[in-house]
Amino acid sequence: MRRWRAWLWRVGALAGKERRERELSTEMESHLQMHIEDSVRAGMSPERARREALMKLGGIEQTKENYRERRGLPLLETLLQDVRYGFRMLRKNPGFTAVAVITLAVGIGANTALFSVINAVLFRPLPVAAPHELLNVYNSSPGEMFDHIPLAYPDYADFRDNSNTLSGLLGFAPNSLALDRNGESEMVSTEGVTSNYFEVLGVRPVLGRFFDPHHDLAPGSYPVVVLSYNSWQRKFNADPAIVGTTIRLNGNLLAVIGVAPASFTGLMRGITPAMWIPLSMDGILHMGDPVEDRSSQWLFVTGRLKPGVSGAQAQAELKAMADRLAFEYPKSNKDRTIVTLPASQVKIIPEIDGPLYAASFVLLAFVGLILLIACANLAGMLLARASVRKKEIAVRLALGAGRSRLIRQLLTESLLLSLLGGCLGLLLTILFDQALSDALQGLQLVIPVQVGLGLALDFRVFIFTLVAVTCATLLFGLVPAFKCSRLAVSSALKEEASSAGGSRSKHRTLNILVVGQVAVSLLLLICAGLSVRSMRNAFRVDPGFNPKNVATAAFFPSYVGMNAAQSAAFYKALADRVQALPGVRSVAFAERLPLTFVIQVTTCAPQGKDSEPRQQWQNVDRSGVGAGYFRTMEIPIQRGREFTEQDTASSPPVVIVNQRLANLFWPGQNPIAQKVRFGGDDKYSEVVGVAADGKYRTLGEQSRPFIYRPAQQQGNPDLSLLVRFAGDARPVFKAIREDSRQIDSKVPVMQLQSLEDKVSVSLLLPQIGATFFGLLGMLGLVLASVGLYGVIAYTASQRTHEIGIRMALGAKPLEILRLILRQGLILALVGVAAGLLAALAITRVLSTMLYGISATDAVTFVGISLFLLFVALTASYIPANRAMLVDPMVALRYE
Amino acid sequence: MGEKADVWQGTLALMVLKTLQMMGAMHGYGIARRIEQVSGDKLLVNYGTLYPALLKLEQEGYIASEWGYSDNNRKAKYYKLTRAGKKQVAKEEREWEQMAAILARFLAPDEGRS
Repeated sequence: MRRWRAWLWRVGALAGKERRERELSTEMESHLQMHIEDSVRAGMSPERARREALMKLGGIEQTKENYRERRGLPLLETLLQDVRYGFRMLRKNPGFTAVAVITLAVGIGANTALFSVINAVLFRPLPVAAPHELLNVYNSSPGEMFDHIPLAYPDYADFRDNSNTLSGLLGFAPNSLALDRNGESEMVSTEGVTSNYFEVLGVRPVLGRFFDPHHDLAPGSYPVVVLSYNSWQRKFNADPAIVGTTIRLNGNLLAVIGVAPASFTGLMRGITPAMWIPLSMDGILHMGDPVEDRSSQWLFVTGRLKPGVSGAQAQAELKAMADRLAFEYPKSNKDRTIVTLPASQVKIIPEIDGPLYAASFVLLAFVGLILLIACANLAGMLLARASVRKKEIAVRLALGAGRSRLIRQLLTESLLLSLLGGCLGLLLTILFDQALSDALQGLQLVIPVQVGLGLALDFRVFIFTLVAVTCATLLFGLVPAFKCSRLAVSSALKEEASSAGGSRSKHRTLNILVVGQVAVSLLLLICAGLSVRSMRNAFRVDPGFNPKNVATAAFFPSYVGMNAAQSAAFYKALADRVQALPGVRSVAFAERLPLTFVIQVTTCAPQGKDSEPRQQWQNVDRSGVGAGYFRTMEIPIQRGREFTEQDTASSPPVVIVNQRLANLFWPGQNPIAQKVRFGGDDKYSEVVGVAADGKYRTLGEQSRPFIYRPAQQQGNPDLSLLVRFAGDARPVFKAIREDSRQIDSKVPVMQLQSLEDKVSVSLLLPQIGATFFGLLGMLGLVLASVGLYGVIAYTASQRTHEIGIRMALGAKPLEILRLILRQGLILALVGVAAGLLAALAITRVLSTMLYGISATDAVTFVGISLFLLFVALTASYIPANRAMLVDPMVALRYE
Repeated sequence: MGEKADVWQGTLALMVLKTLQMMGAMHGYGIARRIEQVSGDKLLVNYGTLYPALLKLEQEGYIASEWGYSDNNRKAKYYKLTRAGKKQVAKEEREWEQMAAILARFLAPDEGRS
């Protein structure tokens, strides 16, 4: 108790220090005087009395110091003192401070920026009430490709109505709809949700209200929609009167009843729906989700645990219910069981999460290298400055400063630099986040998802920045602080000149730092070089068709309830009209376009092999294409014919295979007129043509079998139009839009893009890789060159005396130049060698991302090494040049 | 002057408190003189130990300080015992006496135990 009182007293004593100092001095002075008076009265002489009093009573300053330590909080006071002193030092050297802060800002900012992205996807908790109570519920069946599958709606309804462990069970399904605005159709990504979605999650609307949870029970008309905050801002101009207005989706009017808060973007990280629709509207909006069908699994389900119930209990109950359903409905629910995972553990779906984490850490590691280089730079700068501050340090040591006190003060200065750099880095991160959000917003992917990261600086990012700042401080501040304080006091005070010889060993730490920087920089540059070359290779890969000068548009008659037969007439009329335009060479329709991330895989087998069990059949990518497809896409038909107008839903089933499939099924034979059967079908289709191989999924893929069917036999009413034209694209797009509206204005037409743009999405990954590593490489190069320049300049200036002597003894300027250059060259060579070793070991991490180039490509390695050596030479040349021009007389007098 | 031992840390506080109890309010110098007197000049009190000890006692609330004037009209800080201090003196006195008694039993020759 008393101790606390004492502590409080000490905290209070921080104020009014000056007054207390004066009081103490007065008190001690009067003590001394009283002692002297007594002694004098006892008979001593005044001088002797004074001397004796002083001796007897101990050192005054020492006592005062002890007193002060007890009085205040010495640790805090010295810290404040250090901080004030540190600021003064930084202000005295604005150039140094600026360079240091900027270097740190770049290093810390790069890490913080990447972390803010990773945080948004992996670490931020769901913006719902009590996220730890939420449980994701998946189906699982043996033999399926994935272990976690969505549920069928009737199963979900059974679980929801009968569960005792879950207080609420919601379901959602990503979807896409056509939003009509100003006469134009726009594809928006949405989620169909059960009407208790927002209630179970505990989210509150920022405008209006959310769905009425009791509406679910009767699927019928509930034409309302909830907007996301983002779409309300961007698509509807943040209209404050939006609630109550209607919007047209898939041809139907729905009323906007509310807007979700800005922080809520659905339950899947990184994917943001623009709006939420009740599932009971599924049929009316033709969203295509079979609500009644127990064998169709498409609904993602999440439940909230009742208080006191554990996830294991809920899983056990749901499993038991699933077993009962398997018994009641053997046809659809056979072998179907339940797997649950806490919602906070799952980011998107469990199968994607693992690679996401791995990729994140790899990326963080690479960006961390930049921070290392920056810290090395700073350590070098601090070491160089240490020699300038030798006198100051020596004086302080002589006055009795403890070594640890000195180190603490130097570290405080380093900490100040790091904090300033960290703040600037945070600013840079904010800018980066803004730019990234804007870029993602404009990203048009063919698949109906909108990528949105909801980047915001939350406390995790701040903590990460603080950690980075602390690490940086320790990394670059500790060694110089230790070295500084180890000065020999006497020699420093006497200003002994640095000896002419031994300059090499004295700067060992500096040299090691520079070598390290060069090595790391080389590693980053090699990664950049590999990525850039890989990207160029990706661009040059022949996709097997000609994407230039082709306009595309996607049509969705299914959104307004038309089936394949009904839409056939629409497509025919459209094709006739578009064909008649000037400049149009050919027109065709296709279900799926290659390289757009939309694939359909099916199993098929040639006649003769189709008696084998289904598991052994060949997996083949498939697409339905219309007449003239191959001609329009300029895919060569190597044997047989294309599909024609005669290949309809009622004509004999035919297929066209690619060369690879032909070789797989009928090696050495003529594939024409052979028959194949699709899994799940019992009819045979006849092969009428063989197309050349191409790329279907990604540009880097190996040769893949592919099979084409006539679009009408495939039966999907939603097709894309392909128009090969010559000349200007704009009238073609205009005509497509107008003609389709004239023929049938209800059919949504969307995604009017050139085929090149559509296909460029597959190049996204190599482009991102090249940009990322290119940036890192450049950053690393700049930092390392600055570091190298700094060290060479510094060591050259230390050797000025030596240079003067050499010149006086007859050395020519060119020899001096060579001397300094050689120093830089050796450092660079050692750094490059170390970097090459590191690169050989590390670049294999990237090999999965590289197109057509090996991770240890010799040309890249050698080329980058030479480039870096050249840069290093240039960086060394400038100080070498200056050294060369030194006047020997000045140099000799320099100390 | 003979050998004087430096005053032990923990006991100095008790001595200060006891002195203030016996003599009422005193300034630092007076306390030092008095302690030396009572110890028969066998103890040496110096600044380094006395003033920090006084500060600690003040922080813990056992003594209170006040500026005043000495006999020779010199400005000095006077210290006096607080109520908590009085209780603390009594308590520590008891503890010391107990300790001394126990120790005495160990150090004294056996009496009538055989």
